[in-house]
Amino acid sequence: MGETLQPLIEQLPAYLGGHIRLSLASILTALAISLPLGVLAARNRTIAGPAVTAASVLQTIPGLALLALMVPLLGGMIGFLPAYVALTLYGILPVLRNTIVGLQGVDAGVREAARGVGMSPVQSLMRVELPLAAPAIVAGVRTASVWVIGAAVLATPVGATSLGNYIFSGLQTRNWAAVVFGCLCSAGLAILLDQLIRALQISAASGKPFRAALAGILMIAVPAGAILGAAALTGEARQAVAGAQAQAGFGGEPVVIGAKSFTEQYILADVIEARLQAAGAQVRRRDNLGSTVVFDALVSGEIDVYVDYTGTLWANALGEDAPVPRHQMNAAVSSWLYQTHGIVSLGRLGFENAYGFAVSRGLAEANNLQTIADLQRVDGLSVGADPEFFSRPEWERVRALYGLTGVEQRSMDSTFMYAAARDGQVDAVTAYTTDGRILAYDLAVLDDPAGALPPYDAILLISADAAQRPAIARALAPLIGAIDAELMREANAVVEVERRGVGEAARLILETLPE
Amino acid sequence: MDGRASLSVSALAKTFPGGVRAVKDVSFAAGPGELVALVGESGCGKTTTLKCINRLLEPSAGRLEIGGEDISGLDPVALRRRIGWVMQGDGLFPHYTVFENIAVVPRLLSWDAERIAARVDELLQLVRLDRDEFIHRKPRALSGGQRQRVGVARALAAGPGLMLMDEPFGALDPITRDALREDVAALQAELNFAAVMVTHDMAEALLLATRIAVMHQGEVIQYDTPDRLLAAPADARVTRMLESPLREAARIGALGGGGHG
Repeated sequence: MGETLQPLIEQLPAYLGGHIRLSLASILTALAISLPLGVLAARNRTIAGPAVTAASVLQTIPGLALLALMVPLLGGMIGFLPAYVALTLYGILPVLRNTIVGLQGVDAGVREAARGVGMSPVQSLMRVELPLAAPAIVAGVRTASVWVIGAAVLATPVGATSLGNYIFSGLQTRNWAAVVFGCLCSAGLAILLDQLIRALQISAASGKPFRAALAGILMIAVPAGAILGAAALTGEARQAVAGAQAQAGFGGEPVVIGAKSFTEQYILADVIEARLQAAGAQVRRRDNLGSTVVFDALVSGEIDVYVDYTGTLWANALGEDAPVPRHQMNAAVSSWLYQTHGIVSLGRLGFENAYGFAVSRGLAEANNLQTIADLQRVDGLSVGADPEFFSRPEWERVRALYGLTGVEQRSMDSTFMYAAARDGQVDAVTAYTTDGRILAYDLAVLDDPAGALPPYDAILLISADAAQRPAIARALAPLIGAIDAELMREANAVVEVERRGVGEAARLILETLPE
Repeated sequence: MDGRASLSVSALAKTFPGGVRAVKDVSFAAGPGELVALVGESGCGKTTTLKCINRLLEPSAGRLEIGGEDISGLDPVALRRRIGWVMQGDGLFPHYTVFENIAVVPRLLSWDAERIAARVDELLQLVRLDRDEFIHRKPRALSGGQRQRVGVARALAAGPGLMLMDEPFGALDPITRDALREDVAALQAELNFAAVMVTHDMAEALLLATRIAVMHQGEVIQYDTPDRLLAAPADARVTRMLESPLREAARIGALGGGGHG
């Protein structure tokens, strides 16, 4: 147990600090927006309707989508800012609604009394209306706090550090302890803040200023400590490394490595990190980014380097749908990236992580399945895939070319696909061809004679800015062509089958590289 | 507030934005120690008239003077702090204690804490509420009569020369109402403020008022002392309003004098 928890606890200051920083900033900003807006709206019905409607619409957007939408809306910026903006929007509704309801619920006679005794409108608001509406408003603040802290775990895919880092990477590496730990920490934080606000309200209402002050101080001191602590740590680290890094030709800024949210990406990011550090660079990681988020971030220069796949870029970035042969696609993607965004492809790592239709050995033998077309013979065919796949053009093409009709589509996280195929919960899954579990679970990958599925060569990309710092390309050059599919599958299996750390998998690759 | 103010209302009119003429050409005056009662049925414009005096409503026309000074140019917020206001119901602030409710106007006037505390004690004595028992209570822990007493104390807090009272005894049971009426009359005699009281209860007006303005559809149909009102009602409408209190008085008189012994 201690061994499981040790690494989790080591990451806690960074993740928890990030989570608190992000949620508190969002909650406070949401308050600063929704309180005045609520006060205005309570007095002016032409504002109230549209304001509440807009906030309600924002609330119906799923948290993950709202966060991911912020990245393109903010010009490809990732990290704190898009998460902060999205969570702030998320926190507005409960406070706004309760402020309006609370203020409108103040007895008209009491409002008239306030005017009648000679209070100005501001005095009436501050001394009478807001105190009387306070229970409703505080209830709204508590709701908003719990929502925002809960939704802040979704900040991880847009590159902001949060307790979601435990959850997202834990899901991908099947580290359930990390997933549970992240959930518990986030829930604990939500309950803690909720109770602190409650204590603050009760002691303020019962006229115990000392206790109210204590709760208030705690509320400010805890996050402030977390923020200052984290800032001090990163500040020190930055100073120490900046000098050495500048000498090594990496420029003054740390090199930021991006990774999507699956095991192979974590391993490759680890490998890249090790290479850069060995060359004297200071490195920062941005793991668990969404597939389009990570590309937008490279375009905007928020990250400097990551690994993507030609087929993904071909469809998502270039917007092409007809597949072309491997080398042609590689050349087209590379030149498009450079000409459109100044992004440089350093080359192919040497393996391909394509989609392949995988079925359990038992099903394959029972129905004599060789190619994707043979799936026609499976009654009531069900296919499991990551949510992205079903909206990709190649899924259209697979169905058209191989005559698959009436397929039951089952979106699922890629972590669960392989076991679902093994256990017969679905007939076929769109496996990633480098995944270690294809071997471990004895799945059969069906042939694609018509070439419906495009090639997905892993290519190493650096941003336009990073291309100006030649030391980066120099440090990473040995990776080009050095990782074949077998090596990648083995490394993935270290994490996904043997349940060992990402670092060990990365070492497996690093050991094969020439010095 | 030191000087005893008098109130003069002349040709007051109030037309609401929709075009409803709630008050048309109303005139009356109350000197120090005098109480003018505005009497009439619901919707006759009596409360509107009252709210025009402390500018909770802006008058459409007419002249309002307090202590000889035209108030139309004054800041309404500052004006209201000089005028005591006893509301229909009680209008107490539910989140304030008795002390805080009474202290509200002195605090708005930035009195120092010592003076406010002394004043609140004095007022609780005036309205006959036990200081130690009530001073820290919230309004919800008071009876209707106690709340109305606090309301009166609040209105008196800054020593206004003019008190405006909107149905001040309307929501009380008869015994409490009677006791409070007596106390308010005694207070007025002691403090010598001018007062305007809105009521739909003619008997109450007859008992308390120096002069009565009988209102009907936004107009004063008779403005007289209680004696002259009883002796010479201006028209059938006034007569009708006097019928009920007179009948009651006659019956009570008959009960006292005409027993079979």
